[in-house]
Amino acid sequence: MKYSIIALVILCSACSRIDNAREAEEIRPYSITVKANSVVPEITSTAGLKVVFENFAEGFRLERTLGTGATAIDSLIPGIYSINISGRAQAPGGDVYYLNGAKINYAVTANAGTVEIDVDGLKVSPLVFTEIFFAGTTPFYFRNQFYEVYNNSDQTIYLDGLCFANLTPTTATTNLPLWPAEDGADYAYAERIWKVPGNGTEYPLLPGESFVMSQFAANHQLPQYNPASPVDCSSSEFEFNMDNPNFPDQPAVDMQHVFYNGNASKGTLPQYLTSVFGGAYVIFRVPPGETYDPVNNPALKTRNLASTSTTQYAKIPIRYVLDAVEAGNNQNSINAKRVPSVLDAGMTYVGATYNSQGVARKVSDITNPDGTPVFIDTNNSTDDFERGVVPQFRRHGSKMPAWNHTN
Amino acid sequence: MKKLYIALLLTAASFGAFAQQTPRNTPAAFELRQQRSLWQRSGNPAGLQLDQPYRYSQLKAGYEAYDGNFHRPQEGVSGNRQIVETQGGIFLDSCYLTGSFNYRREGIKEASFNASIIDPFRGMPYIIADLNPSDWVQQHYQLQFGIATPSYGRWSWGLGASYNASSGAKQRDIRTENYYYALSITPGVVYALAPNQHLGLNLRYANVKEEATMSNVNTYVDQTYYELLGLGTAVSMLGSGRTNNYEGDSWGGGLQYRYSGKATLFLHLNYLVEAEDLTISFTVPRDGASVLRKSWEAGATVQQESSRLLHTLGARYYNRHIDGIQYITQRDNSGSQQGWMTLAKYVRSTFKTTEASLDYSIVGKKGNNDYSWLANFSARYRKLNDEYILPHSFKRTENAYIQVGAKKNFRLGSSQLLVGLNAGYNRNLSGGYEYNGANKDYVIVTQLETNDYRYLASDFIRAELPVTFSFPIGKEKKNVMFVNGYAGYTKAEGFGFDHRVTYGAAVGANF
Repeated sequence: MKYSIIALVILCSACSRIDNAREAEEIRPYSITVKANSVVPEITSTAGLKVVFENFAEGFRLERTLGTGATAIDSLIPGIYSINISGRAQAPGGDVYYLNGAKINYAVTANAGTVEIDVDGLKVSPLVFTEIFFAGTTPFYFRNQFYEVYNNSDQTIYLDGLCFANLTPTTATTNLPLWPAEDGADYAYAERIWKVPGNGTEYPLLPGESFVMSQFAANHQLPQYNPASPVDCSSSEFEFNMDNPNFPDQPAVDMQHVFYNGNASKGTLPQYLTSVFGGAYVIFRVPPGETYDPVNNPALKTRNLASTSTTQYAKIPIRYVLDAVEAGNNQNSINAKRVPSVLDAGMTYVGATYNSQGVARKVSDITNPDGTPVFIDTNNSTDDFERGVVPQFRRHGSKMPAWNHTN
Repeated sequence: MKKLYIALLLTAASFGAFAQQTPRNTPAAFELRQQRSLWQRSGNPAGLQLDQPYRYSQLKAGYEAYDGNFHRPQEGVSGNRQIVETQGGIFLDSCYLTGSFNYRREGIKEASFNASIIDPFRGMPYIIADLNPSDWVQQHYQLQFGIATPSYGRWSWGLGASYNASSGAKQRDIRTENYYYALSITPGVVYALAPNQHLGLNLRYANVKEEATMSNVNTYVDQTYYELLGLGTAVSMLGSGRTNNYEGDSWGGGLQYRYSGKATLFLHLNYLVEAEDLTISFTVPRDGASVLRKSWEAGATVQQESSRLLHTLGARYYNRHIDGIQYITQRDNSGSQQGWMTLAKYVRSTFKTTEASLDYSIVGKKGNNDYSWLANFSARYRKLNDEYILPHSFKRTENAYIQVGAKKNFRLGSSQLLVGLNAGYNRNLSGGYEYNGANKDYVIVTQLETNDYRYLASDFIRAELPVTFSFPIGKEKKNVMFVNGYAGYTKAEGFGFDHRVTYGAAVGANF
């Protein structure tokens, strides 16, 4: 009897596996209808906007122009897509808006489906990341990581109080954290936050100027560090000083530490290392009149509810965020996006670790009157950044602020 | 090794049981017996007693090696094998039992584009390929038996089973440690329509599993690797690989008909359907891919035997169709945390193989159980037609291969020297590889698939020289010890390929 039952179980298992395989239908192109809803009251028609379907895993990209009302998109290979809608639209009053909307990790698994996407007037940030170097240099040298931020506006901006954070998960993963339901889509979640010190007017950044925050603001090409390093970070404006006597404080101004694991203290790690696979980075500013204290305000920190870990993460209200860039291992990591699409609808990458390559924002056709560049900012790192560049400071003629310690 | 000891013990035990064996089982006699064993070759164990069975056993150990640049990219540049093989047949009361055990240890040098599977040519396209050519160390065990009852009225019954186990380890990052097994069971029956006409039916069930656990020893260097989806379509990754778990089941059956008169006519028809799933990771499993393989085979053999000659003419047709199935999956990161969810599955690729062959051999007999010489001729047509459906890519080849061979059995006193020569020529009739997917610059397209196509579409000539020397041993001179060796040389034409040499030697005994 026992053997009969075992035989029966084997039989059922075998039939089930074969039946499961037999149920698969042959792939064919699907058609899907896209409807873009403008949330800008002045804009009623989204006709003419560009919609891009990208299946990053398969390297499949399809670009179309939206018509009036719903637009049928055909020839789609079933799969997981990032759908981005963008473009300029003119309101009846004559104002021109740059509209943007996205859906990330959207599964196209049925023919003749409909997807609705809200498009909003793009928040144009005056400060943008223009160069990020996270991959490090062989052999396993990671202290030359840096982040360059540029004044892309026509106004002087005081950096005092500007915050920098890296988001969690620190490395792109499909195993995303679970955050409190009441947070909705209002927050990004940071592992560590730093702040530019100052009294409010100490660190002005003029249009066309950029500043650099380095993990360790030294000349990494010195023999005691790594002569193969592509960058000398000694002219950085700021550094993330973790008080490691082996890598002593440099002339660059120290960033002020704000938050790590629920505390204001830096913790015991000997360096501020973000993932050499590529992290997710934000700069944000607390609006005047508001207080942001994730260390002492329990409503501004949380743990990952999907795990038993007690590690605390800071909540950053999305409306604070000026710019965000998400980086991952390679083009396929976009299936593991951590940053809400409203902040960064894409992802950039260099494809390897310790390859001395970075990412750099592309310049637009427009320049400032003094010849400094205006960078492209469509909130999509996939499109906005050049990948695999040799990192350098102040590319394309960006200027150094007058208060840099080397002046 | 434990399995090896068990097999050797079984073999040793069988020596005693074969003490009363009558005919001397020379290597030539052994070959002749295999040629006559049409039921055994059909895979229906119930027909074993119709093959003029007798008691025998063979034990041999050998060494083989290969080298040369005419090889598929996932094969080693060179390599060697150590082999121990035993097989035998014995009467248990009125039942006839055959069994075999083979052990092979293989050292493969510089195999490329494979970090996840012991045999990349076993019909599973969904593997991990990395960029570091690497050595592999593999061990293979094969245990098999078949038993046939005598006739009960018009009915004979039989049962066959096999157990294959392999382990393999890649020696360079991304490393992998693999464990594989395949278990099959084959019940069969033969019905006598008349004293000279028999109809056979057998079923077959098999279960297969292979686990591959990948890792980096040098954890500071993350390796680029590719998840292969077929014909060059691949997803690039960075890191230390992953855990792949392959599990498969298959069902099939065969029909046989034999007529014995002035000549023997043997017809057979086999069908097999197999499904094998790839699951990624054990901790949070994800449906990786599946394959559905359907194959069928039809063959006809005519044998005409006189006191001096044995003629065998065989024709065979084989068709295999594989559906490559990919899943659309998404990680559930909601509060319910259900892990990976499968949203849809599609047949994304097909792999078709068609073969037709014609073989003729003539044997000049020496008595009833031995031969003096043989000559054979075979012609084979083989067509491969692999397609990735969307975006459409294809790899197709059509080849014709002809081979002639001869063997002469020289008598040297009580010893025998068997010397053969086989020569073959492969002509590519047509073919092409066209990749229309994304990332055309991936090495998976430019090197793996392109060079694989070039190998499959190459013309080549091949020659092989097998030599066996045997001599009687024991007091009654009924047992035979033999030493054999072979050398093969394949010369390729075009595509930058040059040659491949294979050679080997073995020592053994037939009892």
